Formats: sequence, structure tokens, C-alpha cells
Amino acid sequence: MPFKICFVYPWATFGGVERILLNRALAFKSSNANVEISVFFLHDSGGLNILREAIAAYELEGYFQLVDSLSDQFYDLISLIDCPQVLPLVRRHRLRHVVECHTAYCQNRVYLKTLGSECQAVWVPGQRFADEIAKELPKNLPLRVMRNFVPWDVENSFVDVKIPMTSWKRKPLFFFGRMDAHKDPLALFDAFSQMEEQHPGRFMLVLCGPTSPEISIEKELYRRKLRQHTVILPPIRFSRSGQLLRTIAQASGIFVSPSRGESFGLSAAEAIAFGLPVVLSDIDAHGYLVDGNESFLYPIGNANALSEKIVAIANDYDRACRNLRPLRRNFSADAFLEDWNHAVQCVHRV
Amino acid sequence: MIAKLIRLANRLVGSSHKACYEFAKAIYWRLPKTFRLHLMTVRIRMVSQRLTAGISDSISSGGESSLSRLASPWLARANNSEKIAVVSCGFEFDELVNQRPINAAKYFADQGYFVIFVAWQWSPREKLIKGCAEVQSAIFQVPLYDFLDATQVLHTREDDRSLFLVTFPAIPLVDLVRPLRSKGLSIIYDIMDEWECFFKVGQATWYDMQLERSLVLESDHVMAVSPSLVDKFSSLRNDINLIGNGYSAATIGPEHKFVAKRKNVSEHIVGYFGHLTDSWFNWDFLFSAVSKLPDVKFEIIGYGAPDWVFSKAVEFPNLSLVGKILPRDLHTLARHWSAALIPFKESPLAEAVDPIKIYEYLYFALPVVSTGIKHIQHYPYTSFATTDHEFIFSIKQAISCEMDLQSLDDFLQQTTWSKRFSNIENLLNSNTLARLYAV
Repeated sequence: MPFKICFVYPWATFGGVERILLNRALAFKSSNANVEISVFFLHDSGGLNILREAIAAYELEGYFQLVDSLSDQFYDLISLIDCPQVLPLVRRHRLRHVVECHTAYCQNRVYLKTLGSECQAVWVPGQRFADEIAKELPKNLPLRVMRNFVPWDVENSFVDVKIPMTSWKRKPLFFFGRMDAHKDPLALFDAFSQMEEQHPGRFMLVLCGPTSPEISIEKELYRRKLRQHTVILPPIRFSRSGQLLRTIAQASGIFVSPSRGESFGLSAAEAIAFGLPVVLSDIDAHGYLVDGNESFLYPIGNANALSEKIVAIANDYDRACRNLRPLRRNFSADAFLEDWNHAVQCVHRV
Repeated sequence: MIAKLIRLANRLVGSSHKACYEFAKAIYWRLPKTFRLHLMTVRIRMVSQRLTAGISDSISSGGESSLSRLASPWLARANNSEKIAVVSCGFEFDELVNQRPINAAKYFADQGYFVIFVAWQWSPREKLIKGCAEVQSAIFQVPLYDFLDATQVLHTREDDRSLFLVTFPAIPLVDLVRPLRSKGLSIIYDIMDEWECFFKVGQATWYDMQLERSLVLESDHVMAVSPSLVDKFSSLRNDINLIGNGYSAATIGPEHKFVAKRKNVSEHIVGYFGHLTDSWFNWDFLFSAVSKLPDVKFEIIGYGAPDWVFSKAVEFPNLSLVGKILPRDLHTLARHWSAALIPFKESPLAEAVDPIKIYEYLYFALPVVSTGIKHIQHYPYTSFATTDHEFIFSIKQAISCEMDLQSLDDFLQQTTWSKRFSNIENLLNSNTLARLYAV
């Protein structure tokens, strides 16, 4: 009998959680694990069709199904991902469940304090994040790491069509994600302004992701006279992110994340997995991804340091690639399966 | 005159913004050039405000537009077509006008595309003569603001041949790049002119240097009509294709090919057709040639000549300012010519041009004498002069030149609009960022 798990998440958007669930299904498929994933989104915020396309593109139909109820079938386990609104329901029906916390937004995880003993465990995507939120949990509630990962070691599922070529003469600095205050693309703009003064004509910006009402990207670029050096790409499908990252790597690009908080840093992990050097804000999640190597980290809010780190990596690009490559082992599909088996055994023991 | 102006101004008080704008525009273009240059900043601000107001109006009038777009026959056809080409243009579709975007639209329609010909509007309220209609088989003219309103309901493409041809980098067109890319269309920027230079002389008021450079970077493919335009952006990318202008025998008339081929004539006529503004037409060179070659007759066709030219022209019996002639009737005069002129002033603007008229001259079998546009000297039977002496010498040589029509025909075979645009279509075979977005 397969182990049946249903993940519940409030919104089907275009975000990291959907990507994580797809990655898990890819890992189960590649290892022939006897696991069936169902996913229940409380609301479709425009991401459901995109997810369906990705399920088809990765040929995951046997491993990943979308459901619209928790009562249609029996589940061995229900995982509520940042979804406290379903807690009363699973308590009432005494459904075996865990809570997964992926949000870096503190105000969105206040509910963790209210969890009772009927919750089997809290799963988090990395050890540093676990250390950070441990104090936010009730005592005696098990906290387990279910590592986020990039299934780069599941090669067949990750390559579909050829990698696009670019003809840019400048080295692209790549921002990949939601362009909101939390992910802080403006920090990159400020650093880029300095770099354009000190190294005119050497770098350009490539931004890809959904925009946010918090920041008028065009206006901010114009204000700094940077629109002329910038490519803005609309968000891409899940199944194409690997191609885009490899395209940027082929153009000798550098991935930059000035994010103010991450539970894991999925985009940065994907960049490393695909051989793209990174410069990341020095937060716990990023520190874990680069194993604390300061060549790839800069202090938040320090545009000087960010631009210096970028220039240093650009000046010794091959070495940066070589140093980063071994780190991707920490977030491979294999690493996840190890965590998974351990966590599921613990649930069975309870 | 002043009293007249005051009366007109009084009538405008209380009238619409549009009327005020039209009034200011009319006045501006009647001012001497020096005044125009002084007022350019004000003019650019007014035009920008008008343009931006247009975009806001379009967005705010979403309700009504949404209803009308659901019934748009062009939208249903686009969504059901195997492949689509969105071709932007600064003016309405006219099959008899030999302009690059119009010829592009015709070419792609011939190749099985459903063509959405996006015709420029300054505001959503601006009515286009042809409106929103099928203007030729498989070519649908759609006013800019109708199109802006409908992009969300265009289906994501399942082919890898659909394209958006951006023909000038105005804000509303560049704003379309991201939504159309997300629908799976390849983005092609066709650099047809030196827009920055036009902007500096008070034209192309929508121009923004930052925006054009971003468009060059963001496009899947970029092409330019002249080597100087390729050079201008070569610091940004290394794959800008040089794809010159062309001609269509069907538009000029197949029966008019080589109509001016060498004949025994007692009187030589040298001609020109096109715009006559002294901003770029080199009247000094022309008058020098007219005075020093009294046995040669000069026929100058076109409009826009300044007043001083008309005053001076009366002194020369061998110079005829013909005025406007319909494009389809040009052959009636050109067939009697011995050579043709492109006497432009030397400037970055002229150097960036690949004049469409040169293909028409050569199609009629006319040797060409040019100034100001150095790169066209490599075209057959085309000479390039830098001084008035060289200009006169080149004219003398041209009128006695013997042409090898076979070699000329070889050139003409390679420079049809079809050949030019097939080069563009071939670009779609390469693997670009567009591949990340099509289904």
C-alpha cells in the first residue's frame, strides 16, 4: 500500500511552495518511493493551471494529484503548510497531521504557539530555520527538518528542451523572484548604480518574477537611470526555471538575492544547483546554502559590500563556480529522501 | 495677425483639451525654427502628458472596452490561428504605401500568419479612418488602445513562430513586450530610424533613450536598416542583424520595371522624389548643380520645401518643383529621367537611413547620386559625393552611365521586401528566451 499524504496550502499561486511539492514528487518518482501526494489548495489564486501544466510537463500524474476535499479518501498523514485555518477541521475529525512552516514572515507564524499535542510534529525546511523558530513553538512539540532541495540529481526530469542563447555583451546580474520589499530588489539597484559608475558597461540587470504593488520597479529603475541596462522578464513556468538559470549561467551571469528573510532560499539553491555563482544577503538560510562561505554573502543593507562581492566574483568567475558546485549536495533529492524517511518513521512510531 | 490669434485663443477658452492641443500644435509648426527649438521642452512635456493621459484613459475605461473586445472578431481569429504576427505601425494600413511595417504585414499574411496590424493612436479617443477592420486578407488593423485592452485575453501561443514586431520604441509598444512575451510571442525590434536624432530635432516626441536601449536588450531578435544603427547598439548585444529596406514589384507595378533604361535623348532629366525639408535635403548642393549644369533639367517631386527654396527656384529655368505626385504615378515622370538623386545633408540621422526610394530608382533602372548616406555607395549604380563639385561630377557621370540590367536585376532579386522579411522569419528558428514562454 502506498503511503498517502495530503498537503494543504491556502493559495495556489506562482510561488515556492508549489515548486517544493513538485520537487518532492520528482524525488519520489525517481526513487520509486511508494508515496502518493495529494494537494488541496483552499483557493486558486491563478496558480492552479500553471501547476497542472507542470505536473504534465514532468509526467508526474501518478505521483501528484490535485484534490478539492480532505474527506474523499483516507490519508496516512495530512500536512498543513502555513495553513492554520484548517487546524480546527483536522482536530475535529482527529486526522493525523503535521504542520509545515515555510514562511519567513514572522507575523504569519504566530499560530505556531497555539499548536497542541494532537499535532504530530512541525516540519521546517532547514536547520537554521529550525533554530530560529524553535522558541516560537510550544514545549515538547517535535520539530523536524525536512530539507528543501533542488532535484538536480534527478537529471532526466529536469531537462526538457534546449537552453536558449543570449547575445548580451554585459554580464547579467540575475534577480529571480517576487519583486517586493521583502525580497528587496532595490538593494540590488543601489549596488548596481555604484557598479555602473565604477565599471561602466560591464554589467546589466535581468529581473524575472511577479511584480508587487509595494514597489514600482519601472519607476525605481528610471530614477536611478538603470532602465537602459535592465531586462525585465515576466514570470516563467515552474518547469522552465532550470532552463532560465542555465541560460543565465551560460551568459556568465551572477545570481543575486538581497532578500531580508528566507525559510530556505529556493531560488538561490536552484541557481547554485545549475552552476550559477551567487551573491546573497547574509541571513541564516543563505548562510546554510553556501556553507557560511563569506565570498558569497554580504551584510544586508550594505550596497558597497554587495557591489564589491559581485565584482570580486566576476573577476574570478571560474573559481566561484568551482567552489560552489560541491555545495549542491546539501540540497539534493537524496538529502531530502533521507529526511523524509526519518520523519515518516517518527510519525509512524507515534 | 495678432488680433486673429487672440480671437482664436478666445474661442478656445472653455473648449476641450484636444482642441487646445491641436491649436498649440498648429501654432508651433508655424513658428520659425529658432523659436521652435526654444519651445521644444514645453512641446515634449505637452506631448508626453497627452500620451500618458491616453494610456490612463484606456485603463480607466476598461468596462466598456471589455464588452466590446469580447465581440472582437479579430481576437477570436487570432486565438484560433496557427500563428500570429503583431505588427506595430505609426500610421494606418494602406496597401499602396511602400512603407516597411505595411510590407512586413503583407509578407507575414502571405506566409500564413494572421496579422494584427496595430495602428498608432495618440489617445483612445482618436478615431482612425479605417477603424478596427480587416484591411486585406488575413490582415486586421486594430487601433493601439483596442489592442492594449485585449492583450490579456489573447491565448498563450502553442506555436514557436508567432511574433511581435516592434517598429518604434514608444512607451505603449514597449509596455506590450512583457505581456506578449508571456503569451509566447517572440519579440523582434526593427530599428527603422535614428529615433534619438529625430527627437533632438523636435520629432518623435515619445522617444526615451533608456526605453529604446532596454528594448534592444529585451528583444529576442534585433535588426537595423543601416550599418550605423547596428553600430549604435553594438555595445549592448552582438547579434544585431542588418536588414535593409526593399521594394515590391506589385506595389510599383511589374510593367514599370526598368522603364527608364538608357535611351537616346537630347535633353537629360535628373529627378528626386521624397520629402523636401531643409532639415535634411541638401538644397545648397542642388542649387549648385542646377546652376552649373544648365543643360540638365531637374525635376524635384515632393513636399515640405521651405519658402526660400520656392523664391530661389524661379531663378532657374532648368529646375522644376513638381509638388506632390501619388506613389503609383511616379513612373510617369521617372521614365523620362536619366539619373536620380538622394541629396541629403551629412548627419547621423541621414547616415542611419536606408532610403526606400533607392530601391524604386534602381527598379526604374536609374543610376543614383547620393550625398549624406555613405553606406549606400555599395549599392549598384550608386555614387556618393561629399562636396558640391563631386556631386556635379557624379551627376554628369550618372547621366552618361551604361547599365548592365542583368547585374542590376541580381541586386533587385535580393532586395525585395519578401527577401528581406524572409530573413526576419528565419531568425525565429534560433533558440531564444521566447522558448521559455510558449506552451
